[in-house]
Amino acid sequence: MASYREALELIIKRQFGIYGPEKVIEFTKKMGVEVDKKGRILKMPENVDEKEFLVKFVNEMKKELGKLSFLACKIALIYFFTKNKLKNPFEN
Amino acid sequence: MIEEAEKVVEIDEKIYWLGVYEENAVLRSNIYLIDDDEDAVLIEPGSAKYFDVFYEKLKSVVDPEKINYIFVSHQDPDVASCIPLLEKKLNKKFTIITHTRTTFLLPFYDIKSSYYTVDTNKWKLVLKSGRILRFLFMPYCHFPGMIVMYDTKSRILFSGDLFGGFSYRWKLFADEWYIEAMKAFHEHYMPSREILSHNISKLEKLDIKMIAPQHGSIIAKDIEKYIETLKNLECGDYLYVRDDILEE
Repeated sequence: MASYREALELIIKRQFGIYGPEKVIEFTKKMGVEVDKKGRILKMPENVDEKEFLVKFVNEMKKELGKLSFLACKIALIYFFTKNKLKNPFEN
Repeated sequence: MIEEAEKVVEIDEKIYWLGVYEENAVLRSNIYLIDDDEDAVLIEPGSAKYFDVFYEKLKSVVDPEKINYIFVSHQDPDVASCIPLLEKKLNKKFTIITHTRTTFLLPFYDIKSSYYTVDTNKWKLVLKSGRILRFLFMPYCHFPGMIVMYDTKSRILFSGDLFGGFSYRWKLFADEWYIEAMKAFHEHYMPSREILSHNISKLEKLDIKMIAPQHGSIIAKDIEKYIETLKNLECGDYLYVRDDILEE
């Protein structure tokens, strides 16, 4: 079953293409997320709700990387949530 | 500044990349030139904003007077707004290769050149050397009259906005992460999976060596992977999405 962690991985891989792996890995480290050079998540912060963490990650990402970071992945995210019957955490 | 971006790059025999790099831009324009014996075809000449830089690059590889054809896949300002400047600079009119629908909009730039409409010319143009340029109709990707150009000699597809990418990180040739930049661009600019997939399927009949889009990076390897990705990409469909989700 798909998870919010997979959504986070989708976002990270997308940012690799927009900003480059180096800049993105630097940002994910700040957020406590360890990723490899393929954009795969190796380690998440402990004891966090994945859905809440996803929202926090995106909010920080927009501040750190810029508005395009979310714009570049939000259509993919909408399809991901719909396809996997996950509640879209960015929906009010 | 990326050193490569300041140069003219010969991407194939007498086919040149004359693009203009701007730091911190998310969309950059690729401009190409086919120098073919008696004909010179300028491909998507780009924005008026970058005309001076582009013109210097152009002069370094060909006598600009030699240019007789200009190909434009559609009429957007990043593709065609420099044409009137080129007309004035050279005091010359060109033959603009495009689709009839594009000819309805290009005159708004006050372009004086004449048109060669591919949809009324069997979707091909034969240059004086015998070299054949073929054109494929890609309606609604993203303009209703969108076309792409396939050079049968080099086997390069000049794909307009198709296969383009959003990216702050620019490389002339696509690397492993370009596919993500390409998906981001198409998810926003292409109206639906059905339309994109239908049009992209037309490319499967071609023997493509390289894809040269108007934005983003040139795709010189793994062509099938990129075609397959776009054929299956979920895109567009903003109509089904609540506006508040898309707000920043």
